[in-house]
Amino acid sequence: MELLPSGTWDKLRDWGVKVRKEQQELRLKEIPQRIDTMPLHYQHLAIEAFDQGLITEGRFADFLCVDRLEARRIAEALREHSSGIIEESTDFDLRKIQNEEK
Amino acid sequence: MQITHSHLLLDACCILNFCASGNLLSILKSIPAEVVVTTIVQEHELQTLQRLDDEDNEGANQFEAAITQGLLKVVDFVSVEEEESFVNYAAILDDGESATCAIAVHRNWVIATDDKKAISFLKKEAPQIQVLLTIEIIKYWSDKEGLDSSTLRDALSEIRIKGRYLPPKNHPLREWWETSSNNV
Repeated sequence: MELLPSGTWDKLRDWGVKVRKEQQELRLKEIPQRIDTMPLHYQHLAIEAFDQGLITEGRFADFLCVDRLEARRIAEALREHSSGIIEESTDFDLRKIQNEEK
Repeated sequence: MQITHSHLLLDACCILNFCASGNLLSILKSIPAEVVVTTIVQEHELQTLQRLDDEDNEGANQFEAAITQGLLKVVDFVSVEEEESFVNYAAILDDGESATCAIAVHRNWVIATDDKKAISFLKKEAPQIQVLLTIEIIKYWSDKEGLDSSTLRDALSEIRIKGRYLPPKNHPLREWWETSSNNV
């Protein structure tokens, strides 16, 4: 974005600036972790693998590029979303559609 | 709850739950064994704990206080065999779980974890290792400390809301958890 001169990050790092500490001292709110970069289908596959005990919680968090706490929040949301899909599909009666077409 | 060995190794998921309850120190004091955590879990999870409570960093503070007060010891690999097991397990589990399992298996220590994958892995690879869940330790803590119903309800509620944790539906203590959570 060219908001800072090039090399600024390297200089800050060389000076030993601790980002989290500075954030706390300046009372800056943490930037929310982004998971919307992952396709929803990918996220559903990850939660399915986690719920079936195929992967650990840590690995699930790694797949979504978030920490464990955020992973738990996402897992809850995905499970709710999945149960919504299942309920909708339960109501969906293919035979009824076929009869209506006739 | 009976602990059959001298040490109890806490995995990241349990640490997160105990810190979320706001009672980490009290829970650790009640456990009748030396409670330990691996260096890998300590380094990995400190940042997560800092996010438990934005206002005063309570989660991370409790964790650090537990280490300073000697209620929670930090351990690392002491042999090539432990390191080898860690590398082998890491292909199946994540780094924190692998380190916890590798050390527990070689030292015959008890593990506290809620992770389905880690539990099934241990059942297969090292069935002699005793595994405890968050719910079992919380129940033990509650009984030992003789917690009143409102203190227990608040702790369970914090674990549910801040830690976003619920025990498995088929666990024999699940009904106790739900009843205690709803006690008014």
